[in-house]
Amino acid sequence: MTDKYDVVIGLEIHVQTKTKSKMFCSCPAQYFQKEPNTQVCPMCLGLGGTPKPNKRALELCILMGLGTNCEIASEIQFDRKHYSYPDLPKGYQITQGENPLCSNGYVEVPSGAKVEIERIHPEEDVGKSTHHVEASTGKEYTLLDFNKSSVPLIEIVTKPNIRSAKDAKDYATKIRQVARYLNVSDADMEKGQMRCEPNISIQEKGKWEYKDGKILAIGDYKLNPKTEVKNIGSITAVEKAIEYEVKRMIEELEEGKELIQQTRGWNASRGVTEFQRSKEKAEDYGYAPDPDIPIIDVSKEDIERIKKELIELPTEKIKRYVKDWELTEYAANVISSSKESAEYFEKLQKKLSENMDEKDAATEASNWIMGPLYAIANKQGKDITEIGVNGEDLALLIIAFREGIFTKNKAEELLNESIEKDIDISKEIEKLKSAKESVGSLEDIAKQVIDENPQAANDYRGGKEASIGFLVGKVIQLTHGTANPAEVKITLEKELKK
Amino acid sequence: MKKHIKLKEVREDIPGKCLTQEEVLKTAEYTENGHVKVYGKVIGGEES
Repeated sequence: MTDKYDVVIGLEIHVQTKTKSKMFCSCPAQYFQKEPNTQVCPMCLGLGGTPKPNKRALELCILMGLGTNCEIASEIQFDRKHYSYPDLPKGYQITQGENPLCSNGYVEVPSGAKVEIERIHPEEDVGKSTHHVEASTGKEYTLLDFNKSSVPLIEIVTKPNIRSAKDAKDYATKIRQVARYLNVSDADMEKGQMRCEPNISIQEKGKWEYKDGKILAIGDYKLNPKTEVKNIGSITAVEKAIEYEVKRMIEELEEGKELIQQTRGWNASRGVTEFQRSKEKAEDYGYAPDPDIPIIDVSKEDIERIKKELIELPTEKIKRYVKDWELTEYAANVISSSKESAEYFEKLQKKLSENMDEKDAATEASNWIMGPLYAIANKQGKDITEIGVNGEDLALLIIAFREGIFTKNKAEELLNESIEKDIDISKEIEKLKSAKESVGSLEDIAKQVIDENPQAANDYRGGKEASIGFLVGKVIQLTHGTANPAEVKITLEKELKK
Repeated sequence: MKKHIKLKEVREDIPGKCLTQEEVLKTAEYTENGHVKVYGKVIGGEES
C-alpha cells in the first residue's frame, strides 16, 4: 500500500457453531428473532449452576481445526476470562486461555499467501446489550437480552502474518467457506453468526521482522502500536476497514503524530473507523482455570470419528478443477465459492461426461453455470441451486445445443422458459428436433428469405454488409431458433452472390 | 488433581426447558419490552 511502510494484520474471527443447545447449558441455541429473555436459564443468566459443556460444540470446533490444518490437543481445559460488562452476567466468560483445543493451522488464500492460524478454541457468547438515552430524563441506560448468552462460539485467531487488506478479506472468505462446507456454522455476518475483528499496524520497511509468529523490531526501531477494529458487518467491510485504517495511520505518522494503541469501530455508512477507546497496556483478564468443568480427554479415536465429517474443501476443489479439468483459477474459485454451487457443477459435469470428454464437460458446465445460470440467480437474488433449474434438464439442453439442434440463444430462451413456465425440457427438445428436420434445407430457407426481403438483399449486394444481420435473423426465425447463426450467414452470403 | 472425563461422556446436544420471560424479569428493578433495563454509563468494553 505504500513504499515506506509494511502493513501487518492479524485477524480474530468468532463463529457461532450450529448446535441445538447452548455451550454450557441446555437452553436452545437459536435466539434469532425470539422474544427477549426467553431462551435462558439460571446458568446462562449467571445465577448459578454447574456449566456442562456441549459435546457437539466441541466436535464442531475440532472439525473446524481439522479443516484448517490445525493440530488438535488431547485435553480440553476451560478457563474463566474476567471482565466487567453488563451483557456478561457471571463477570467472566468461559473460554480457553493458554491451551487452545486447535493450534498451528493455516489457510491458503488466492494470492498464494499462507495465513497462519495461531489457535481455534471453543467459548461462550455473551448477551446482547443496546445503549440508549432516556428522552424524558436524559439518563443513559442499557437494555439487556440474555438469549445469546452462552451460545457456542469458536474463536479463530491468526498470527500477524497477513500483509494486505485483500488477503485479509480473502482469508475471512475462506474461513466462512470452510465453516459452511463443514456445516460448522451458517456464518451469516448479518445475523452475527460470524464476526471479524482485524488488528492492524504499519511498520517501516526493513526495520522489523516476523519471527516465530511474532512481529519483532530490528535494532532500536520502536514498533508502531496496533489498532483493533470492531463492528465489521460484512466480508467486504473487512477489506474497506483495513484500507481506511492503514491510510489513517500513515497520514498520522506523516503529520508527525504518534500512534496510540486503540480500539476503533467501523462505521459502514460513513466508510470510516471511529475511535472507541485507547488501550495503553494489554488488558489483564485474570485468566483462571474453571474449577467446575473437568478436563475433557480427546482420544485419537475421537479425532478419527470427527475426521469422517471432513469433505473436500474449496482449496482442494479449486486445485482439482484446475489440474484435472483445466478450468481457469477464476472459474474454479467462483464455482467452489459455495458447497451447493460446487455440488451442482460436479453433478452437471458428470452428466455431461456421458456424452463428451470430461474436460469439455467441465468447461461446458462451468460456462453455463457462470453465464446464464448466474445471470438468472443474480436477477432473482438467489443461489444457483435455488432457481429451480434441474441439472439433468440443463445437461439435456447443453447436449442438444452441442449437437446443433438449436442455437445458444434458443437454449437460453428454453432455460428461462423452464423456470417461468415449468415446461418439460426433454419434450421441448424433441419438438425442436422434429421442427428442424421438417423445415427443409438451409439453402432453401435462405433463398426464401432473400426473395421475401429484396430490399435487405439489395442493400447487402450494394455494399451494406450489416444488412445481412437482418436476413440471418429471418432465417433463424423460420428454423424456430434451431439454425446455427454462423452457418446461416455463410449460406446467405453464398446465395446472395448467385 | 482435576477430574478428567472422556469426550464421549460430555453432555449431548439436546435442548431443554428455559425460564419464562416473566420469571427472568421478576427480580429486575427496571424492565422495558422484555429486556432488563440498567441505568448508568457503561464502563469497560465489549468482548466476546
